Amino acid sequence: MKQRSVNYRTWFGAAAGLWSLGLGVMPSGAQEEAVESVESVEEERAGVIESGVLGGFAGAVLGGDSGSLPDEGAVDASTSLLRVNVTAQRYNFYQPWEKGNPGSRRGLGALLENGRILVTAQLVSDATFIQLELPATGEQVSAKVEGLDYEANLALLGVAEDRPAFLEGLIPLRLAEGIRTGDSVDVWQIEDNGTPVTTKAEVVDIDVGPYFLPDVFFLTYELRGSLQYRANSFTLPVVREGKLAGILLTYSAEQQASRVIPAPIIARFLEDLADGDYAGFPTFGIRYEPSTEEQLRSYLGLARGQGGVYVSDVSPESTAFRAGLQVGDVILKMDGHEVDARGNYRDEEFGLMNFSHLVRGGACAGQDMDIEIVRNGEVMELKATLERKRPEDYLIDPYLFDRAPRYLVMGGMVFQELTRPYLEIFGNQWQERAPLKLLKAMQDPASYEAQGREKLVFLSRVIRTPATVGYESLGHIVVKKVNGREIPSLAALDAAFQQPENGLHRIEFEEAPKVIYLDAQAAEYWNGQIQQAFRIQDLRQLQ
Amino acid sequence: MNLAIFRACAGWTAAFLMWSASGISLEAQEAPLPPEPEAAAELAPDLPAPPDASAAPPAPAAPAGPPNTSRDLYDGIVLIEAANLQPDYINPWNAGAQGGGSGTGFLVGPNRFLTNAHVVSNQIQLLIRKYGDADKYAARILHIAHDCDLALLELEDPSAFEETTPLSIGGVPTLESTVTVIGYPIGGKRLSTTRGVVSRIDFQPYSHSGADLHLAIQIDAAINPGNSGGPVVQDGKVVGVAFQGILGAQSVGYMIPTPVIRRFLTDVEDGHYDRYVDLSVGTFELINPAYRAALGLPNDGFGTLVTTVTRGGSCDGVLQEGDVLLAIDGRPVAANGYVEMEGEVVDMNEIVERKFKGDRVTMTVWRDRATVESEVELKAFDPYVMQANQYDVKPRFVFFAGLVFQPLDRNLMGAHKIQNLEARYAFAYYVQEDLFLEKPDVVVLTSILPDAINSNYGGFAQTVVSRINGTQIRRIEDVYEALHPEQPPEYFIIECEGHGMPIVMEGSRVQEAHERVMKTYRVGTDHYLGDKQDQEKETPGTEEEKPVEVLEAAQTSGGASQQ
Repeated sequence: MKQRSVNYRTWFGAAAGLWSLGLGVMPSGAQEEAVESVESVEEERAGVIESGVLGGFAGAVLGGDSGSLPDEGAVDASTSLLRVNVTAQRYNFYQPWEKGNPGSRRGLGALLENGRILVTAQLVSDATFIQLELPATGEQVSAKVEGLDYEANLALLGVAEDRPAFLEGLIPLRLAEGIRTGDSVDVWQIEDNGTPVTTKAEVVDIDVGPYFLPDVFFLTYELRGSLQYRANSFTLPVVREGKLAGILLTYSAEQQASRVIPAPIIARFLEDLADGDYAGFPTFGIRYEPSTEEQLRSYLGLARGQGGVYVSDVSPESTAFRAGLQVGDVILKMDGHEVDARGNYRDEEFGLMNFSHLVRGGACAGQDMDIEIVRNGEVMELKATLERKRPEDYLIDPYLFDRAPRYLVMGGMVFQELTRPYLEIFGNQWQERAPLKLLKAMQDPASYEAQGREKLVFLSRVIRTPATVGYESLGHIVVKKVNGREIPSLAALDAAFQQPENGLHRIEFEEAPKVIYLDAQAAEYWNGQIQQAFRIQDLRQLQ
Repeated sequence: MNLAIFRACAGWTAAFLMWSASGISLEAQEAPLPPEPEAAAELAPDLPAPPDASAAPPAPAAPAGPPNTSRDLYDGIVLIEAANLQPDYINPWNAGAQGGGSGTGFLVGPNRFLTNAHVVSNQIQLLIRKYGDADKYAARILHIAHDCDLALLELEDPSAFEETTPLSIGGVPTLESTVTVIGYPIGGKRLSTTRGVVSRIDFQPYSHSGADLHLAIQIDAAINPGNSGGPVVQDGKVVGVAFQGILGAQSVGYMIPTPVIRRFLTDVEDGHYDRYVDLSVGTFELINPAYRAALGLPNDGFGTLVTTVTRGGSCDGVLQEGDVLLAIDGRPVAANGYVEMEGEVVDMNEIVERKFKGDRVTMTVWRDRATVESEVELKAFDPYVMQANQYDVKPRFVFFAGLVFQPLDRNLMGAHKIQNLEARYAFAYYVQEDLFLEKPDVVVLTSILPDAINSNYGGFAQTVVSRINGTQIRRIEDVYEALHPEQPPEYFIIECEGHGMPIVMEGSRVQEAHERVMKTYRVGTDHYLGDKQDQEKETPGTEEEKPVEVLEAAQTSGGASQQ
């Protein structure tokens, strides 16, 4: 079990573990369980580096003059935490012009310098209203998101109203440094009446592990210790000697184990935000397999005890792709560190750790990194310039929050760009139940990308109108051309619909029925009708 | 949407059936019922005469009761007991699990018993029991049609039925007319009858193959496990063979109607069952006015769109994608693909369903704004069998140093509960995307029996094999050949879809490991690639040989388990 976090698979978009973005209104216990179960599914085989980092910051203290900081020990949950109450509303991916039921979440935020409050991104995902509450008095103020990274699962909030005195009297937390395995930490909570509650826990492991989004892995602390949840939860600060050591990511009551987003990742996030231009954590873009099998090593010409991992997939247009890495290469060294046969290197700070941390733990976008590989028995040096592949850079967005899915309604035909959250509407078993064609596209986007597609535009469903008579049963088929034009994105579809031929739209699909026609005038007319009947505010969402 | 359809065969299938049987006995026939006699009388003359009509007057032995009672037919209705061997697709080198069941059958001619294919599938021994007779008579399969779930049996010694009058085959009963189901279902040992009305006549999936649709008649008489293969009778004639029901539905039973029965009996007249022929095209309802305008067709409700033409199918080279089918055999085709036939509106495929291999159909097609007349010769389309349940075949496989390679088909999907996306995709789109042309077999590495030589390759289970030592794998034979070269290579390299890393095994270690794994896991034989006899199993000669072969296997396996 110890090595589970080593087994990443796939970058975004491969069939990784079951993950339902059931962020809604789940009680925190349920949420944790869900996360834990994902972890166990992840165990299967080798994986991916999503990103990596290298940045040697080793627990950087964040900026700000610390003159006013009090002595350690003077702070506790009542002096430095706020309650964060969130109302969130997710878009309905089936009827993308609508949102689903609003739900509420509660968590604790840690006050940092400059009146910023740190929470997990998960807590504020799809938020429509965020409120900060002083635990002692119950006084409340509206808040806004000032910085956010769903991959690192971190968000920074600020007071939205002009009430400079609201945070007065609270003491900002500094980030802890140098946490090591074996250290004792406190998990902070607050009773309903404002009384601070502190629970002791021990750091039992520091390694790379899964975060809140599927196939995303970062440095984590693993804690052992029993927690009793108080009224609030979700985001719980973890503190060592009065300094913020991290934010709780998951808790498993059964194993009394929790995992924490650690201070080094938080520091990197805050540093990046500080210059006002958030670049995010770089991504590497490979899938790899361990090279522990003797016969494989002998075939690849690897010496005994030499280490190295087998590159089994390279994501197009990724850092690794641009560096010239190929399937079949064996990575021996990254950034001067030897990578062993399981994919671990020896970190100066944390000891043996998965090598994805080299890209996604401390490194920054734009940084160069040397990679030593074996290709066809020859040792070679490659140079990578780390970049971040953003969710929108993928053919199929691996996640999508805070904005509507892109869609276009034409005469009752509903077109969308495929995203992973769309597939997840097929329920917990979506990887079995979602349409095979769309699943295949997600697993293997290369063939579509080779056609010059930026996004996968498909017919999601058909609303019955006189214009769409006979087409009611169609759905989940990929659009090839409309009015003779290729459709690399929904914007292209919108443009193509401006050019009907002889008063008809000719729509070509990948699958049967291959071609259909819509009467352009009738489609326009019925657009107006269904807009009223279905209360569709906008017939197209292209942004 | 996916109704659980069960087959009404008693025995091992009975375990999961939760039906309360509401059998109506014949004594209840005085109870007032809908006006079935007139309806039936009207219908009867329209129907073609059954082939053996002259030989089937009502049996003279009916003592009491009104004329035309089904009771006269009891002598010709038999209990069929089948011992069978369910092939083991997980451990394909094993003989499989022995089981058994019983169903019903009936005499349709001299020493010819009709029953369901599923009653006698995978059989190793068949016994027939006569009404009121304690003896059991050994029987064998003459012809079996898995696509329409019918089989024709004969007795090794026909003397017991020499005096028995065969049942005669009638026509298609009308809706609401009363029918009687006779057979040997669960709930007792003696013959049972139930009665109900015809509820619906339509195309239905036949669950035995899982991939065929034919005409079927829904009735509300109780049909229970054991009724399978038994006659459904109206006015002293057989109007159907009871064969399946829907789990959880009330009073829904299905029978195979006489057009399907007659087609089977006619098909086998030449001594060989040729299977159903098929147009092998996909169609789409052509009712959108804009679509019709684009094609230059009037908005008159006729003509259905051809969306796919399967390569190698009957219409390959004749029809094209985008053609509009206006008429088949002179019958106008409605936009939804229905035609009028004998006063009923039926799926246009019913025209083809009644034809045989080598028969022709004419088609009127709208193409490029003009009418084209064409004609196709009908044939069966073999590749679809991969997507159907298969019976009476031994699983093909290659076993190599703990790695089990098997060709993908419906049996394999079910046995291994295959989740792998590439395998599921290949199965679902095998015909639709012409994958069968590229790969007659989609070979799956189904499991890996752990040994030192393969212990790191467990993650490859259920993946589709693409190449072995550079050879593209297109059928299971390719696997065997690639793994058994004259000189073992330095490395065996096995590449699987979705895995960037290959399986690598050292050639020098393989032979020893192979023998070790076979011994450890008791793998009796390391490959079975199928044989010609399996592919032509409908011929009577091979049918006789097969059971013997399987029996030997069963005994071997029994012996092993006693040790």
